[in-house]
Amino acid sequence: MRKKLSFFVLLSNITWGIAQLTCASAVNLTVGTYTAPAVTGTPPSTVCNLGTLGSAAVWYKYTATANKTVTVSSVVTGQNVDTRLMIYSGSCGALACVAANDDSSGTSSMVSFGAVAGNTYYVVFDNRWSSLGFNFNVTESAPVINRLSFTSQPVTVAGSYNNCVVDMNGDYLDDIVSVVNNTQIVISYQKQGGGFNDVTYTVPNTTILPSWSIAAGDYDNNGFNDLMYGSGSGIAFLKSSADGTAFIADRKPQSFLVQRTNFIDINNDGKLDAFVCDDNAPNRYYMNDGTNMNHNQGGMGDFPSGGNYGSIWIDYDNDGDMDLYIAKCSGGGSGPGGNIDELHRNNGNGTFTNVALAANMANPTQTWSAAWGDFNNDGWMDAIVGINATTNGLSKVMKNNGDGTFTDKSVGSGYDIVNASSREYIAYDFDNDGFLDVLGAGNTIMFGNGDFTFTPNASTYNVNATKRPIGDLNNDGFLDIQNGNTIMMNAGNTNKWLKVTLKGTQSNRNGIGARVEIYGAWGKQIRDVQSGTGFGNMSTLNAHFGIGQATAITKVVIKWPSGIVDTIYNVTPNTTLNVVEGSFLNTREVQTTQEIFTIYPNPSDDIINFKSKNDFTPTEAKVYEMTGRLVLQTKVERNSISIKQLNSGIYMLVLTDKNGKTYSQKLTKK
Amino acid sequence: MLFSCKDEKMEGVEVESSFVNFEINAVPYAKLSTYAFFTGELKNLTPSSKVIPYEPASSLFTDYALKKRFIWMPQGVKATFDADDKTLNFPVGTVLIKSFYYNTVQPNNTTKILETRLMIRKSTGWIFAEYMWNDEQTEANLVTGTDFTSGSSKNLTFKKENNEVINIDYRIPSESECYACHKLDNKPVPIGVKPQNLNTTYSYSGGVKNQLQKLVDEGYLLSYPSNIVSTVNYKDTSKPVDIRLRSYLDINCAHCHQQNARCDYRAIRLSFSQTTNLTNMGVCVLADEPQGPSLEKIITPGNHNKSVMSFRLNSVDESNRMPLLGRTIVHDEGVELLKQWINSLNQNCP
Repeated sequence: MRKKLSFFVLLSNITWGIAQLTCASAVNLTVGTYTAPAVTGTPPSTVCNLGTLGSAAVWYKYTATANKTVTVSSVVTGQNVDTRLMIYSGSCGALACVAANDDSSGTSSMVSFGAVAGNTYYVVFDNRWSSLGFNFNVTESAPVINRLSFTSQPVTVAGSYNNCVVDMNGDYLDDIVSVVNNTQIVISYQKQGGGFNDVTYTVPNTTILPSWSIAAGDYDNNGFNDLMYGSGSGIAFLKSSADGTAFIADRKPQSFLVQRTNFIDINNDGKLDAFVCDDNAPNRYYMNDGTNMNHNQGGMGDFPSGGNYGSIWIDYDNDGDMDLYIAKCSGGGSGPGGNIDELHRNNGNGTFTNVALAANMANPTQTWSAAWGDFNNDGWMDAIVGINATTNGLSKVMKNNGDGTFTDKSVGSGYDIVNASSREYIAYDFDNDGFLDVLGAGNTIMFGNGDFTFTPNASTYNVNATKRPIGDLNNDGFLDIQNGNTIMMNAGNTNKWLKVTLKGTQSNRNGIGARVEIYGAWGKQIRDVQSGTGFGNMSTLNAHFGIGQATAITKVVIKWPSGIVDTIYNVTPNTTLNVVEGSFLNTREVQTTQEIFTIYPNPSDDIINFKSKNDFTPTEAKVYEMTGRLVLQTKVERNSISIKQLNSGIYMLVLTDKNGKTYSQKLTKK
Repeated sequence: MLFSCKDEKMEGVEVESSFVNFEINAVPYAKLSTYAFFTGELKNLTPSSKVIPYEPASSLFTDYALKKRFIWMPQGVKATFDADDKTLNFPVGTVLIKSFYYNTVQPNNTTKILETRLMIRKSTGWIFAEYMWNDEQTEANLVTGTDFTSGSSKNLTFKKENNEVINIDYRIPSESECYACHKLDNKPVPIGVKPQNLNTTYSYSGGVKNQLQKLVDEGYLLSYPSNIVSTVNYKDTSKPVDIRLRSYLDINCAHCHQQNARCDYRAIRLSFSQTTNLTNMGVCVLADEPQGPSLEKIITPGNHNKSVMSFRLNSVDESNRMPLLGRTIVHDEGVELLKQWINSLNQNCP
């Protein structure tokens, strides 16, 4: 019997000897044991996060007949071949990495992945370490229920600085910025209907590259985002022209080891300034006088030998201005260490006070960034202080008590059992359930449960360790992760969402530093608009919310850095709300719009009528596109207006009465 | 001829007469020449009386710059021995003088001194003084104020020993960058002048001598033991590869990767006295920052491509490379030495 089996395997080898040498001739796999011949076939074109590709590979494929967890393993008793294994989805011409492994046990490899019924997966072993033949087996088990899945989608990116996802052309769709070298960038503009339009720009010499971090913001308020590169020898700005198609470089002469960079309006004059962590000395910042960005040092994290890694700007005390948290990392010794994290309260007059000790945020944790957000939706910004080394303890979950202090909620949070470390910790609601999650260490997302406990995904994700900016790269309301030349496109679920995009008029154009609040069945959720989260990446400037299965958003409030407050009632879920600063003033919070007036017919193709209640008699109407552009302004006569001139679409109608009171309502033109 | 630079050693004739001008409350002086550490033309770096050359067994790699190092002490004071792997206890007034130069600057293989770094032991501790040489090579001027708060760079094209011509932005450090490496227990300290590194011979004008003995003979060192566990010159292929690598890692990495230093939050301990332990070297140790499924351990025995240390020494990306400071290009010989050593290991990681 044994003899017969060997004979069978031998026969199979002969049959497959030629077969598995290319993707096109990949051999079908089902459950069983296989013998791979010497690794001599064509290697794949993309390496699947394993570093350098081997010069040859062998190819197999697995087509799922049902949803299954499939495990491919060269971990075979008595076998000692140094294999390496990659799983791809897609087609031979466009392979997308699903999972990969090198040394699961000894030098043998094993990968488990979730196979979806009807999909074909390519199973590739390369010869990076060994060209010898080997045995491997394929097993199936019940599908693991992942909290959230991502679909790998190849994307053309240039160069190796792939750490920036942000809107670059003012359409509020997230684009991908790739810095190629000192004189070239490529912007992959997200198209309205999906996909990207790659445009290569030759730029003036920036001298340095964003080797440590990148930040984006419109610091000249011209409607197009500018960039800041952070390098080992200082920073450079790359400023967009009036139409966003040309750039001016401003290489700053101060040469120092830069870590996190941020655009932030430090003195609240409506113009973005630049904050720069100095690894070895007190932090630097460049103040925007309207013409120049002027260097300053001192007053915002002055530990003599630095240790400044991740500057995160949030309004932790809800006083309307942005405060500065600094994730710190440094070696030991007697005396105070540079690893003690700092929290600088914005005094509102251009000065800052480090209140970390009193706030219980002076943690010694060796951290390069912290994920800030309101994890329990109580209206106060909390923090996950993420570790980069375990030497001074594990990551900390810090609850904002709303009185200037924080309580350590790490025990039982899920973070108390995570030893993995990372440079990057960021808070987003990836599964749109209404609770913030954290993308950090261990190739997983820690899904927030809204109570300071976090649950990792059932399977790990194949995500780059450092370069992984976030944005909505297919405009579906679910946040995606750029992973070099692959987008981890969020597969989504039935949860609903809202995106809020801002256009400052008194405040900086991006609305960086604005607090966005949304209200509904969940109570209240908040976001602060930030440029520069995590350690080295720049992620979307659009505020994103998940609202779970809720069906109504009763109110959205924007608290701008200028002090202006815009309030919009009854915002439809699964939409993007564009708010121009000052468009929704003086709305009365105690009554919802519907109680004040109704409009009919809606949708309409020409005349719309208002039926007012109480003492509200509209005298003027303004109609805005959802991008915030004013398209119609007219007097209201006999409680009606005509919208005949408008193109079909959804608009925001803002009505004002003779006392200046304003109410707003969405309106659809047929 | 400016000076003979073979093996980075000073072989010139010691010029007598001139004495060093050193007033501890007035230093650092605005000009390097004011100290009178050197006689004759400044650029020849010919040491004055009692300015003693030295060279650690292995040298720090700084983009292939060549170096000349000298030590000077006031009369009547001596350094004392602490431990093999600890910097000598230097008396107040000690000055360590280190000049960085290239002798293959293109197009004509000219010699150019870029900077001279001083560490001066004051009563309050060590201070750093950075002098940048002018293009005429007639003077080096103290870097002060905001010029020392930030660093700077000098663009330079030179030829490597293997005849490869390369262009670099040679880094002149800021004061805080000096401190980043010269920091132990939150105090500034010298790095190279440890007994383990000086327990080798040097070719002085008066003959070849053990460097520690020379310091004793000059009245600069009280005494030293005979059984110092010493580093070797990593270039010396007659020595075992593990001792060579450990010497290399000590001088290039251990100032940060040791207890109470800048990177003591990382697991590795790379001081020569600590690296008899393979775990301190990172063998089979999971890196805090794994670089992907194929690059997780600091050292994977037998496979340098699976070793994060090798990846970092081979990288020029600022956020990946090691050492973090003082290097912008790859040190081919260092990388090769590490590779040799990794490939000599054959244990299986658990």
